[in-house]
Amino acid sequence: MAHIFKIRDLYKKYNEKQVLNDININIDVGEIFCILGPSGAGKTTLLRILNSIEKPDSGRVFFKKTNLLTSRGKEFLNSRRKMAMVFQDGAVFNSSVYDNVSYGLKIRGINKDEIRKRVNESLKIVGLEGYSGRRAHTLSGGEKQRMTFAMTVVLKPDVLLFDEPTASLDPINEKIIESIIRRINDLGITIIFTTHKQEEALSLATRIAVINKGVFEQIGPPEDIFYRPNSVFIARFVGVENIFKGIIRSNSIDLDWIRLKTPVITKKIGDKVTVCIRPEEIFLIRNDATHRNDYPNQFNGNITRMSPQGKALIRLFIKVNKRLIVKVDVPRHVVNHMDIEVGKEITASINHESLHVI
Amino acid sequence: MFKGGILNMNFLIDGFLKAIALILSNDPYVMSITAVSIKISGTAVIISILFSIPTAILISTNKFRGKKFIISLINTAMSLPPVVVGLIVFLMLVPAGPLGILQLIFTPAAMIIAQFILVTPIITGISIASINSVGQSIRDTAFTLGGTKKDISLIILKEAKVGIIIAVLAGFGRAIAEVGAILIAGGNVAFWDAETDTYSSYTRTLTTAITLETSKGDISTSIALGIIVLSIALSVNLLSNRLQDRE
Amino acid sequence: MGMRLKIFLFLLIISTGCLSQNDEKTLNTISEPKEITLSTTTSVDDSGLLKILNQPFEEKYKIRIKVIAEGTGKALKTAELGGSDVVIVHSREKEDVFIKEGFGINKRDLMHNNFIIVGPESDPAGISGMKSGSDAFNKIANSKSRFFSRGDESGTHVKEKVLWKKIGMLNTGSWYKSIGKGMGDTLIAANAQNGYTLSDQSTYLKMKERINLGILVVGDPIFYNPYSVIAVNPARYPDKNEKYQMVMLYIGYLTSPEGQMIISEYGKDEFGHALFYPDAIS
Repeated sequence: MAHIFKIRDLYKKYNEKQVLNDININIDVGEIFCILGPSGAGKTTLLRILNSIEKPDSGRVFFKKTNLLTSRGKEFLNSRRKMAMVFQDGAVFNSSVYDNVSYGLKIRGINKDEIRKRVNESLKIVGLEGYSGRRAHTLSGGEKQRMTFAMTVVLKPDVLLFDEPTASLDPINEKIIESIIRRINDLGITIIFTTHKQEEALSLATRIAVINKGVFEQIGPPEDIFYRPNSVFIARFVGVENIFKGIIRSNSIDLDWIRLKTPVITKKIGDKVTVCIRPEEIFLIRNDATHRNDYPNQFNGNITRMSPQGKALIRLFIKVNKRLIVKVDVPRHVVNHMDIEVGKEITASINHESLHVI
Repeated sequence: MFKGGILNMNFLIDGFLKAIALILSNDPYVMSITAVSIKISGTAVIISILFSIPTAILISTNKFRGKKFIISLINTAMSLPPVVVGLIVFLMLVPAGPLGILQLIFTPAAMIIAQFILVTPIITGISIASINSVGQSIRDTAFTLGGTKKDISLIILKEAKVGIIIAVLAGFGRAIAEVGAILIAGGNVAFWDAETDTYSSYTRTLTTAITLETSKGDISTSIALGIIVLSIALSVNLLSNRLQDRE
Repeated sequence: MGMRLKIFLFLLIISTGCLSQNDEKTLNTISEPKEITLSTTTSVDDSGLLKILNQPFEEKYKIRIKVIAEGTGKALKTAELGGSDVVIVHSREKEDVFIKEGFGINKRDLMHNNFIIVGPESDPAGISGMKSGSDAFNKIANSKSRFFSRGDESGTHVKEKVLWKKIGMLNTGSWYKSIGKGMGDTLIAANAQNGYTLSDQSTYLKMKERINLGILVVGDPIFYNPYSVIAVNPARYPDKNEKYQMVMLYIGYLTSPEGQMIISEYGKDEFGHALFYPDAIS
């Protein structure tokens, strides 16, 4: 796979705070690369450095074969013009949608007919056909966002950078933006985007880099991040609700309220570990279920609370001993079928494939 | 004049009616004064624009040491007392003064210089504020779309266009309404025109003429001049307000 | 589009105003037509005399006279700084200093009129008909009646100060209002507040119709108010030699029978009374 960006030993400090700390990554041509992390983690700064809007304190940034930090003049301008960024609070120019979208082409000296053709194409891609004559300031939040996409897509760049593209949008517009991003990627444009929303990262990205306090804690495909997080921080960030401390025994992990039969892990007996179990990966056992004892890693508990988790699931808070609560996400129909309610005793089973040990 | 309440009103109404008559009849004296007013203030503003706007762009788009100081200097200069400016221009331009050799004292040029000094901080200062308010995000957008430094400056100008026009109108409004500076530097001179058998203004403007006519007790001429200068100031303000609403 | 059009029209009007006055009068600074600058007092200018007096000279010699009307002090200062070429003022003491310090030469007596004390009909200080100016001032001060002073170092103001000094008055008190304005404005103020003031005859006559003050004290020789014309010394400003020639022509004209005749007639038609009395001995 060819690399479109190679970033080496990048450091950036703002007012005593180390915003980027020893960043090293390669970004492949054609991928949708997501930088996931909480606010203030350094995501926006990294993107601005990639787009040459800001300079790092030290390090190297290669775009294709060019070192952006040492490049000058025409070479630099040409490299710059092969990428574009859409900002979180992107400003629009005080003129028509057409003028906004055509701006980048105008300054490149493209001829009028070509401009018109490309503007219309881009407006189509973002679903703003017919908006050409509208004044940009009269657009709604979602429409403005899509227009800023069109302003960059129209340039037919190699890379597009999106900083929190759905941050200020409602769920419907979120979905629209996400499908536009996929459409743009289908045209062959490499996408790098930042977000703090784990679902968005999961649904869009081909690779995710989790950033925390200026450091990439883990880089990998979505399944790795979500089901095999490297650290408690990442686990919490991607929605692993059940994180328990335990000790390795000869054939199991002792969690104090349960002994888990586990797959092979490279730990020594006596090692202290942290176990992550996603709430949707725990299954309830009916009292009258056949072969009850076949289910692995069973435990009992008392349901202290129930709360909806999105449209399809309900989260059960199961008290397993005086201190601990295990969270289990269960489909609605199961709750209804099994007459589950607060106060009831319940038995559940944990699949050992659902365990992740840190 | 001071004979009692009712007569007071009569004298005002009388003066007002005479004033309207003067304006409607295109009284040459009044018209010459109006022309000089507009010419002096207009020229001062136009020359100031050539200096102020490039300066405003330079200052607001560049980082340099002392930038904050210069901007506060400009803002302070917006409230330069006109009489002080007039006095300084007078002392500079009299033959005894450093620029006396130019022989510009008591000429329209001296008034234009004085008003230039008064309006430039206003036009520059308000333009700087407008350009600054264009915001980093517009610059970032122009940059990321591949703009060169020149492209970015042009787009900033375009976005700040309305604010800059407002700055120019503010400068003109100040110029047309002021009296102290041009009175001292210009001398409030009118020449007798034998052809038209009236006075014709040389350095007499609406405002300086009002001071003169009022002190001579010629109320109707003063009111006529007052109506004209108020109308000009009002239209400038209305135009400026309309533009601000659009911002 | 509508906004752009409006702005364009606005700029068009301004530039038309700028360009239309294309005649000599407003564009000259380099190619000068013949011109001399006269700085004089507001009372002389306000009287309207100069318009009648200067016209024949301007027509005959094609020299334009630029009149700058200020207070006496400023008129002399302007001349001192080279801002004018000739002065007409009425303050003997200041004129003497002006000449002594070498700023002015070729002084000529031009004309004179008289100061008068004017005041309200009610005459609270009871000075009507008095013959002595200083006695009248005394009565005004003692009765603390409102008095308005020009306070601007003009000839009138200087004369007023002479009178106060004569009676040893220190001029304190809220009854004494120094307003720093010209004669016309001072008369208007005195009129509005029923006060007294010292005025020159000509300005008073000109303003008589508009105010309700009467002449109360007149005739004291101390009220004699002489006007002189003085040329600015070209030795101080050598490149003014050409101007000096023209100024001498002008002074010659003012002091000629023709000029003096105009002075003596001025005001008779309009006010029934001459405003100035010619003094030149050519």
